[in-house]
Amino acid sequence: MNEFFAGVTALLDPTIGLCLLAGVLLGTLVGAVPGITATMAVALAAGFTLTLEPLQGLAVLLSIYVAAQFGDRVPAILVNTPGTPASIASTFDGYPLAKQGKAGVALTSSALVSAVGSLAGILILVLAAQPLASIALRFGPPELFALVIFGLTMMVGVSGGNVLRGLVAGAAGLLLGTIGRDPITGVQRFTFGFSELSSGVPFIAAIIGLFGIAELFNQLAETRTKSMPAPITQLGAWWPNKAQRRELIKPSAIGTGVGAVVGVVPAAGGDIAGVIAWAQAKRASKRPEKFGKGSLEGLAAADSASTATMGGSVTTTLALGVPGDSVMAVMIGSMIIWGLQPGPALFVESPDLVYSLATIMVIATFLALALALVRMQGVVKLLALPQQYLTTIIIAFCIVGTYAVSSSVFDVVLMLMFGLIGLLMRRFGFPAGPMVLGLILGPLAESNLRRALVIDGFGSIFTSPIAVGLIILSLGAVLLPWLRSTIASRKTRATADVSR
Amino acid sequence: MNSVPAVGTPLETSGERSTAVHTPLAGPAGAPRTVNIRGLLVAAAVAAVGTTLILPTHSLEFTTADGSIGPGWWPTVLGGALLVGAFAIALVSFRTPDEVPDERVSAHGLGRLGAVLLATVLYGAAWYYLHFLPVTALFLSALMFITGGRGIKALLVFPALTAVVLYGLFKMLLQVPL
Repeated sequence: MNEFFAGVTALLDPTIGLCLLAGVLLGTLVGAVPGITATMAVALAAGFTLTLEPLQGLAVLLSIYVAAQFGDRVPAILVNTPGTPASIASTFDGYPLAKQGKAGVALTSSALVSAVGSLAGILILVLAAQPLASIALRFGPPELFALVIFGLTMMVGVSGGNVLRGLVAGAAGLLLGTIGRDPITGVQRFTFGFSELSSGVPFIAAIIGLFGIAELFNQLAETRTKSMPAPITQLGAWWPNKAQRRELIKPSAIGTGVGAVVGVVPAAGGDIAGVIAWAQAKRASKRPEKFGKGSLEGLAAADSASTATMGGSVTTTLALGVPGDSVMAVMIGSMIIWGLQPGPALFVESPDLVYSLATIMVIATFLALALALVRMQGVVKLLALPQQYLTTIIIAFCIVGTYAVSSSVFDVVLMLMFGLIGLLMRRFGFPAGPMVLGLILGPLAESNLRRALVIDGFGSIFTSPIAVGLIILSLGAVLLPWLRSTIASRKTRATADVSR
Repeated sequence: MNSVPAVGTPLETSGERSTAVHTPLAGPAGAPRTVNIRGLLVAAAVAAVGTTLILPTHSLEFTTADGSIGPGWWPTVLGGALLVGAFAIALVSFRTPDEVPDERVSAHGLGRLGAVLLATVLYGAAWYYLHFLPVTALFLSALMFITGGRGIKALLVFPALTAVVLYGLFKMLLQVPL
């Protein structure tokens, strides 16, 4: 109980309130603009929050994370374009509802169920983080190594991209993690005489380069053939009536349940949860034929699920030190720089932190909900903002934000190099997430593997039931998508042969 | 699993990009398979990166004086993993077509990217000698011009205001020595 009060009272500093407000405004804004993801926004914000106190910085980053999940519903519903990947499933029924003249009801319902999902997820964080960390505290070097491999392979496996290239990106990230001082002997590796690299590749420069500037470089380099449809501006009634409110209850419960489970799985985020919950709600609905054609139930399931993942993601990140999703991968980078190493030991060193973070997320949820209910018309205008304004602002923030971390031009050059690497990766199908995760968790993986090998050779890994279990799950994460696509392509070929 | 409707124009998915197959997987039964040149090039690039990263590890110890694993071991394992990955990508390239992004890179787009990079380098050089505010305003104006902004509002007012906001946020509020 003392830890709870310590965690909550730590937030009484008025500057934290300002940070929360700024984060919510920024998060709603970036969520509402397609092309800027929450990961990109948190990476950009990491550049200037590092000069703040850890709690102030975490308030900004977490509230961007929460609010982006409210803002991204607006373009999903009004333009049929998800503001961030988490709102992909919102388009399935949100846009058809808007076309039927129910955009206002869709936006309000979405905001309400998103808040319910978010609060349920935070409850998971409060209840599950400490017990999960207690279990993880018993982990030795073999289990910790297996945990990193589990996190990496899950990120590759669930991303839905090319698994092989995801694994290569992860290995490249682990290699980048070897730059700097060897974690056991302290010998300098691959620094090429640059003192700036002696403590490793600067996280923030790499993160901003790979997630922020690379996306912009990609947008600059390509010719967009698809243009965004004009937003629906007639919002109609904005508050759902009694029957509509009753309609929201069951799918929201399904969505919240699905989101809570998916959120705890490392690297699985709101996009996956939204789609799964939509399908489950359709199966459980009395009117499944309306799904995809403008069903409030479908919208409620998708939106409550994607926000419910947030609490689970933070739980996995804090308790295990393995990011719950790509935003959390960026947050881990910032936390390490602040001297907060996510993982079970964090609960021994700063037991009140989990309550501080949960409180920040609760306040951010209510602020984002309030903003979502009052600013609809304004956001519709925002969707018409010319792209060059956004591009220019983001490039400027990438450069100045990276420089601000340690007043180093070297970091800016490195960030631009990572931007070009990220561009090439994007064009050739290599996901950036596993590379960032490899870079962040590389030293942890290496030091624990080497310790495990010194203790009892490879036997130490294969005699630990937890390590073996995690490695089996890791193999499943990379082999299942491959197996699924192989079976699907065989079926397609068989069907084609039969029809011929 | 129920089928899900198509999304309008997602700009980014969890898989980072949407993909489209541009060459046939295989012709009708008996027809020769198409070799995926793009995939082979990717494999060669990954192999080159792996080899380049393995080479410097020779200067690092594999085992330390007390017999435990040295600092060169892990990078060599990872470099080897990249080579295995390159081999696997090459192998897959003989069986399946590569995935290409929906949107193609254009010469105009590459020119725009080059211009942005050049402007950034010039900005870095000018910032070294001149005050942050005028240099940044000029840089932002150049970025706006390159990305298609025209008129006084886009080329003058917006860059000046943004430069002031950046200065206020980073220099005044966060005390960053700009």
